Amino acid sequence: MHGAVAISCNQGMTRIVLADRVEGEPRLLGTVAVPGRDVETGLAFAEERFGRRLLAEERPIRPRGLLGDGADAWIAVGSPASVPLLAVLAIAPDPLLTDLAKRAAEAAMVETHWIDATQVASLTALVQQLVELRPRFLLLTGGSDERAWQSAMVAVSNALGDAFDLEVGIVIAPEAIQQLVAKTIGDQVELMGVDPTTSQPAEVVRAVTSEFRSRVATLLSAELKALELDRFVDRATALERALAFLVRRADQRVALVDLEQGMLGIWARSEGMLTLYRAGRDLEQGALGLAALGPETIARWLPFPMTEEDILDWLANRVMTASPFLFEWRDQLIATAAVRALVQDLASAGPPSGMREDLTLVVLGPRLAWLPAELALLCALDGFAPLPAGGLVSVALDEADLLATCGALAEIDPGYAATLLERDALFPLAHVIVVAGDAMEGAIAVRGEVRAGDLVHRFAVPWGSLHVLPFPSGRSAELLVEPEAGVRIGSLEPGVAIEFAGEAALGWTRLGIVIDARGRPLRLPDDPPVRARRIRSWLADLGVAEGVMR
Amino acid sequence: MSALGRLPLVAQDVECLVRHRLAAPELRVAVGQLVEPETILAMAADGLPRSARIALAAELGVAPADAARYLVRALGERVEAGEVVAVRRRGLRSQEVTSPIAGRLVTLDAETGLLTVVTDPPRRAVPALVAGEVRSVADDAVTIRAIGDLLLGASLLGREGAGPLIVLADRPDRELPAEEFDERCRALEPFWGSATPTRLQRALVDPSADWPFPFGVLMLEGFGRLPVPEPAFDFLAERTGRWVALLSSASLGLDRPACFVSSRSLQGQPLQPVALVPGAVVHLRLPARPGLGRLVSVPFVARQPDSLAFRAVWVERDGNREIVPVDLVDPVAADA
Repeated sequence: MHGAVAISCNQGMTRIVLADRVEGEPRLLGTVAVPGRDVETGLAFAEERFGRRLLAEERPIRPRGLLGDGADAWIAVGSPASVPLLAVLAIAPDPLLTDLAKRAAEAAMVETHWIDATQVASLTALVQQLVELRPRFLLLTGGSDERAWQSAMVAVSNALGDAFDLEVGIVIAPEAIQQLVAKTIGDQVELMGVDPTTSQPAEVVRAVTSEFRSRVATLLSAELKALELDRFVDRATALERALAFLVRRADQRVALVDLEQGMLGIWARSEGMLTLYRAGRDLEQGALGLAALGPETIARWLPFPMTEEDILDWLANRVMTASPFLFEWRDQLIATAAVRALVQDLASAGPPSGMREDLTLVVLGPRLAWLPAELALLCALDGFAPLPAGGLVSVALDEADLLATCGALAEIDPGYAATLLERDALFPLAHVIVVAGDAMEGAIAVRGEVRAGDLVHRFAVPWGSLHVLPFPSGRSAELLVEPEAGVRIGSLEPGVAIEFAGEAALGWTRLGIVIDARGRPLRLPDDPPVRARRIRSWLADLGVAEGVMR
Repeated sequence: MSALGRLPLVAQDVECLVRHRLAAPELRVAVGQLVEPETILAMAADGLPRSARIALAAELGVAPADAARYLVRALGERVEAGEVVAVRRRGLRSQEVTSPIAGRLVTLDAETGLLTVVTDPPRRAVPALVAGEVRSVADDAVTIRAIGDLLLGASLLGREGAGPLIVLADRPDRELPAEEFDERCRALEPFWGSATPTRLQRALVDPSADWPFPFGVLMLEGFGRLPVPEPAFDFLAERTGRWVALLSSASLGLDRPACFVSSRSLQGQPLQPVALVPGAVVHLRLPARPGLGRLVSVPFVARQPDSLAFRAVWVERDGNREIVPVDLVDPVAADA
């Protein structure tokens, strides 16, 4: 394969990613993004920008021409314009099965609505609830109480008779219950089943999630049918595949946050992967969904006072304007506060504590790449609060939306996708040394030295602050950090120093090396004015001008 | 995205086609008829019928074919929400099934034992809202050609409506708490209070949810303590006492809703996008800092950051120049 075009379809943004071989190797030529769900304009801009024809008579040009027009592979990655609704009906709830259903539903890019059949007043109320919800997918789960299943199936059958467009029903229950369900509603809806008594929990979750994801990809393909693309891949699957590659290739422990349509968080390490999706929570159409976190959770990350009412107004205006643009510093600071609150909330439902914080790489999705670098870094550090075992965590931006692109391209040509991902996918934002332990506010926590070529810079960082060590573009840097007594670097023993030299020297990043000496867990003062001052001091540590923090 | 022009924030003596969509209408007007804002175009259903399915057989624990025996209200009858529709005696106890909604009992399926209740949406008189001439009448819509002045809004929450315009504020940045609504607005009082913004915000997220007020709200700038754009304030102040209509984007065939003030003119200019040319005064819909500015460039394709391509213009305000996406720029007036 020579050239590839990926169309990344998301709620507020459409991106066209163009890759081609340069000196024989797959490389990114560029990404063009246009506001809205507008493939036509995106492709027109891409043609204009790259000086290549991509379409002929509104169809993709394939294979790639000698002069570079068209591409050999055309793929779409993303999610349908509206996130499909999944109703999870818990019948005779069994805690283990409920947990399986929850994990399966959370890993698919669907909007989940839970119904506990035991809490619904009557069968009529259950029918009415289903009819009003009109879910596209239904997940039925529960134990072996046949009577409970029989009456619930009467309700489902009655609701289905009301002609809503249910695409598939999946049953997580023992075989006998699956048979019962098939007998009652099998002629009304396509059914699939998985028996938790004969399959491992992880297999059950994987099977159910894969089915929903494949349906989501089918909805996307229906939407882009006219373009006749080669492959349609849902965003969660594509991102997981790319992260799995990073974990395998570099033994990374990665966390990713993606805000393209709702919020997607993925934690990946060699032991496994956890994906969590929250529909209706982002910075555009889903902005008011952030109100559920409580405006005070956003306010606590702001460097200026803002009432809860003002925060709700800001979120509502994001919905109303529905524009991806955030040009004003004030908007960007509020957005950063909202993202930190969002990520914290998602992380609290993520992997168990310890695993959750032990990260070597945090990746921020393309939407966050538009924030000023300092604010993007705080989204990663304050949201995930990483505490890497070895003391170092890198933060990178997926500016060009290449992770999802490569994850999708891997279905056609894994080797091409792997090379592209390794060469161009992540833009390094910062290497962060995380300092933990115990020290007095303002007392020296760590001292050290950074060497980039002939430049040698010694530093000392007080407890409770951030410190940036920039180094020249194109250079690598050697770093030595020595903690004071009682202070730890990452999860190392107190007082143990770390050094990155020779082969282990650190590569260039946009911000350089950041010493995060704020301790873990991050503690914010309770008093709002004191807290705002603390946030302002951290922003100032990173180089944000005092004048914009109003 | 519009490449070269945008509709103006305010426009005078423009010709609009206002299309009223109607459900099951009994029409009261004909093509060519002149109408006033209060003229009733039709009696039509207000919303779509809702239905509820009562799992009668399952609730009573009887075979579907036997469920009809236990009905205490006949098919075709009207029932209220919570009213008993079937009773089964079990020894000394009675088992009752109630209707979850008010409506008419329509069918009882002998195979499933399912009782269907359908609400008949109330019918209401649909006023023209604008003065003009009926251009077309169809089964599902009446279109009126109207001439008047128009102010574009950002979002219309709730239903369309019309009435005399009262401007209570004396300046664009005046905040009006509920207690300052005077006797002319007495009808609004019960609905206006501290919870109102939250209810409006909810309507923004879920337009299908029941609208809590008997009037619509046209959002001009956004939520919060934002001043009304000066040209919009002047537009409204100059038309105090006139009859205005709040119209949805769908009724106007535009991408945004508007406030429309009917005039008695016979001839109007078509509403057209205004070219974005240097020197034009524009209104910027930037959420953090809306306001007026002056164009200092024609539209161009901006890339900021490198991968994002969007049509933008350079705008000067308060002595500073900034790039603003064309989508967030409204020329202030048609003659700007």
